[in-house]
Amino acid sequence: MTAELRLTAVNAWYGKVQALWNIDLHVRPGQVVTLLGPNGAGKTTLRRAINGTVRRQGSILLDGRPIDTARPHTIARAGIGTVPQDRGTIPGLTVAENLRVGAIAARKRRSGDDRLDEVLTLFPDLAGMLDRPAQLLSGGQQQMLAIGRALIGRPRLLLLDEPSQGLAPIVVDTIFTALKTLATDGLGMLIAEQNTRLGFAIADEVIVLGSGVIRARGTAAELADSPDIQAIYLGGGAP
Amino acid sequence: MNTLMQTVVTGAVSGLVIGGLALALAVVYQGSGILNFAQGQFATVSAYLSWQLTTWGLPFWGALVVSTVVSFLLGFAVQQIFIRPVQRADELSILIVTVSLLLIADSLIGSIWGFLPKSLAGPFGEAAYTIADVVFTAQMLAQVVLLVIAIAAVTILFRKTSIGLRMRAAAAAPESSQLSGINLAATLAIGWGVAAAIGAVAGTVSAPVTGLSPDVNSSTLLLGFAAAALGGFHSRAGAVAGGLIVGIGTALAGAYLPGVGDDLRLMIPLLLIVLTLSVTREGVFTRRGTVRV
Ligand SMILES: Nc1ncnc2c1ncn2[C@@H]1O[C@H](COP(=O)(O)OP(=O)(O)O)[C@@H](O)[C@H]1O
Ligand SMILES: [Mg+2]
Repeated sequence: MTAELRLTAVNAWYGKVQALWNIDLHVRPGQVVTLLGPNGAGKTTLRRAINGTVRRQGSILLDGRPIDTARPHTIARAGIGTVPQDRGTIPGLTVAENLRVGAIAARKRRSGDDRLDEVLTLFPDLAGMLDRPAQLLSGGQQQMLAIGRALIGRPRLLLLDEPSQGLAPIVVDTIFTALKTLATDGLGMLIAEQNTRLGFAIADEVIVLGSGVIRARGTAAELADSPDIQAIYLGGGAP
Repeated sequence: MNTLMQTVVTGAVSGLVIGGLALALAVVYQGSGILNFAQGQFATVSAYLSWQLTTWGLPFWGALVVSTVVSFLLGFAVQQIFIRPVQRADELSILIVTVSLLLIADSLIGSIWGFLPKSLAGPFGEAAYTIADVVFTAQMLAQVVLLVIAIAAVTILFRKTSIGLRMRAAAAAPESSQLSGINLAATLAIGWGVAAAIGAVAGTVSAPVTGLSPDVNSSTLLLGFAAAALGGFHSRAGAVAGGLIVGIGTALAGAYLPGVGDDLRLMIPLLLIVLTLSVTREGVFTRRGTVRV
């Protein structure tokens, strides 16, 4: 059910400007990998390279099958669920409609419907506001909706781009508790974070990006003990 | 005869045609962010197509249906062939492409059907009914019914179907939609197809009144732009309402404003466009700060 993602020597560009250099990355089935790095480090670009929404080159394999020339919607349908940095809820659509859009990625339409109950169990807050326009939700509710929409597509791997950004600590707790539940259930995840404490706490493996290249990698324990980590990683929050 | 009411009713009937074209403009603008200057000419091609089909022996209704379906496919193909390659280009390039499409459609019509006017016989005959001192011809009634059906069909498509959900999602949040498995290119092309199909209905049902000539819809397109500007370009309901306002407004102006008459009527939509865009830049039917779909 859960998938393996492997990137080898991946580069990415915005127009003629290169933004990622020679990225190697491996998310094993069911593993949680955290991408740390300050603003502008290239976390979102790496997420986009996997999604196919930025020009990229190099090998990207999902369960051994290349997806590096596939189009974004095909990649989503192949099993990569995404929660983009802006939360990516769709304004003008209700909560229920946002969730129905999520079901498009599920290969079997029905399985998306079954999944609705699971999403509402994970985020009971959403149950009472299914008919509300998404843009009227609070930031935390929108983040839950974005995660819910990704989950309804029955992803085999989840990409999350700074899920804690701009949220109150109590909401961040709710979100990360839910993410840990998903991890325990065996869903593989690649999480970009600027909050090092959160990033370390949930990670099986941590990758530190800076200026578009990988600066360090290791388990949370290895990197937390590394005296160099603060020198390499200049973002907010102590490990 | 009640002249004022008659003017209002006649204006409302042509207002629905204008609203149909404005709706087509809005559907494309919502999805692709493009003002399709060729939208009126697409409708004219569709109307000629309907005429051609009737000369081949198809009844009016059959011609209307076939022309609408073919127009959908043509709209889809035009987006895929001419618009998709420049979708990410700057506004000026896209503008040049849609204006070129207008000119190409123009010369296509000329080379296939010639520049002499043709007439498309409607199946409604000369019947007319007088209700409360206002004359309704069967043609007028049929036009209203068919356009209301077309507008209702588009509304249902957007509100109640999975394709409509995809089109609304793609219009509001293209990147997120792709990441949820929506094929953006295909969805935008469907929008162009739907717009062309609305134009086909509007062009064909009004043809028995207006006759067919290559430039028959050019003034309607200008009126459609005025209606869409009033409606805010990305509100479908606003576009239709704008069409009614423009239709009734120009009819009243033509009848009652001294010196306007039939010739200067087209100044009115132009003034409306300049006025709405300078005052709101958004259209009066679009609430600021919310996204209309
Ligand atoms: N749409 C874009 N166009 C051009 N450059 C971009 C764009 N998005 C990001 N960049 C550049 O790419 C680099 C990496 O940015 P990003 O991936 O967004 O970093 P992060 O997500 O880690 O904050 C930065 O130098 C940024 O300025
Ligand atoms: Mg980012």
